[in-house]
Amino acid sequence: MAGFLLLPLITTLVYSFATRWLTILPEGFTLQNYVLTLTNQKFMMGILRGMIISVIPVLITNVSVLLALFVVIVYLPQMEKVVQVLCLIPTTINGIILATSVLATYAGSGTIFANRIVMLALIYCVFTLPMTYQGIRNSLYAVNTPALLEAAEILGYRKFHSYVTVVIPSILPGLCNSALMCFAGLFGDFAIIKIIASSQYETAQSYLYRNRSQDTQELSAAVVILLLITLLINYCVHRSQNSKKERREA
Amino acid sequence: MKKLRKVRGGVLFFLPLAFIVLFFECVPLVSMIVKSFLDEGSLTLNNYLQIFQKPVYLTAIRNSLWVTLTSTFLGLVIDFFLAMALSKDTGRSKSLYLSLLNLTSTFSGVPLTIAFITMLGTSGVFVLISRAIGFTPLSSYNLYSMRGMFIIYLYFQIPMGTLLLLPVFDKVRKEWREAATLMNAGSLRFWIQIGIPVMMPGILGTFNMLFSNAIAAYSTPYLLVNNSISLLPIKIVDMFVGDVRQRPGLGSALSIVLLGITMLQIGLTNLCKKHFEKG
Repeated sequence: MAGFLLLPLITTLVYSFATRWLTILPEGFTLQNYVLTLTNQKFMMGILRGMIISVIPVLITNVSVLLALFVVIVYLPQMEKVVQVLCLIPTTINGIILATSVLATYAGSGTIFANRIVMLALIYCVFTLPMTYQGIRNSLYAVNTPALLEAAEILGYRKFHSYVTVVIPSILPGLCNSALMCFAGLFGDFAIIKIIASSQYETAQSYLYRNRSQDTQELSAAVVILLLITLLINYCVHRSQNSKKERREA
Repeated sequence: MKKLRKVRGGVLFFLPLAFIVLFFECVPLVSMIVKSFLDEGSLTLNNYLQIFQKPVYLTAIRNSLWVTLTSTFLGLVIDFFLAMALSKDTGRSKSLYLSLLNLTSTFSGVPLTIAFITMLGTSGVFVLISRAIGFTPLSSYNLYSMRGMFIIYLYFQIPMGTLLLLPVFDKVRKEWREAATLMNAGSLRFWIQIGIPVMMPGILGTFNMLFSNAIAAYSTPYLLVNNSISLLPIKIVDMFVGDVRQRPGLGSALSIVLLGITMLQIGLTNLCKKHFEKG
């Protein structure tokens, strides 16, 4: 099984270094593909665009869920169920239905929502909502936020003040974790971006798609580079998880 | 009064989330449901009737269900044994394998499909090698077909399913196995009568995830077969942004059908889950 899982990875890796591969073995190895890919302005811009369009929604979602859960915990515990249902609905409606329904509703409506980039960013927000909500909720209850805020109020601090200065920093590792995972998910998305902004906003994924029939060695190099980026994100998530474990054990 | 003012201040904090959820979740969903019953401005069931009468859409539904169900079931079986082997394993090899699973679970969509095209496409590496050595099963491999594409579906079902199933294996305690062995129950009997029933809720949860993952897969079929084989997600998107005439009403109805399939499947697995949780 490990072989089956590794095969595409290894083949792509080898292929990205190969010069020409027409029979059993490649004719030679070279770094040329990487040089070409890394100096390819369109691809690099695509990566950058992909990062921007993934980071902003993650930030927006995190902030809005943090604010909403503050209100829920402090003032309106009875709203908890409603917020939960609303945040978890996107797990059932998949990205395609979400994107097409938003497109059909707002395209050509003349409002700010008709702007494809705004649309894309906000769809991404909804898309990451379930994961963000679960991550934040679990961390908030793990540090027993209600009791913490209660204690801070007795000491004379305003609840919101202590929420921002005490609670949020203490859940930050967990927060970063779910945020990174959401980021990786968005960064790898192609379906939604294809539906909403196929021609206007080219990310690395859409670049790969558009050039799918061209020089495949260069394409393989691009795939390897994208994989390295996700590997890096993965590594960050793991490291923060491990350090959390160590702290708990210490 | 003071409390009331506080709550009102709190509502202000609610606004960002409420805004996103209202305008980009609720409104589109409701408008999609309404649209699915509209055809050129009048209220009708036409869209649904078309879906269940025209062979194009029926094939799309059938194809989607076929590739989803087979890849989910087969994936689940592989995941089960893989997770079983991993849960027994310890130390370095396990952590290595886990990293591999983690890495490959993010390997999906366009990059994964391109990797498979590199391997098994018309001039893929393995196809070329097999042609050179005369290995026929691979030299004529057709990735651009349902059966050919299936291997990619299977590929992305494996890492995620295994990662989800691993914690489920912790539920089966070692003592039970020892007890079963003492009472002369073989390994197979133990798993069928004790292990799998105990794990069933977890397995069904994994099934849910894999199913919804596969039925919504868009990039892979879009890249490989696009319109030569009809699949539900591709048909839906075509109705909204396709090159041919756009038909949002029909597209909405198709979306509702897809949503219905997903919800039906979740409902069914939840029923099974309840049965097993009761014991």
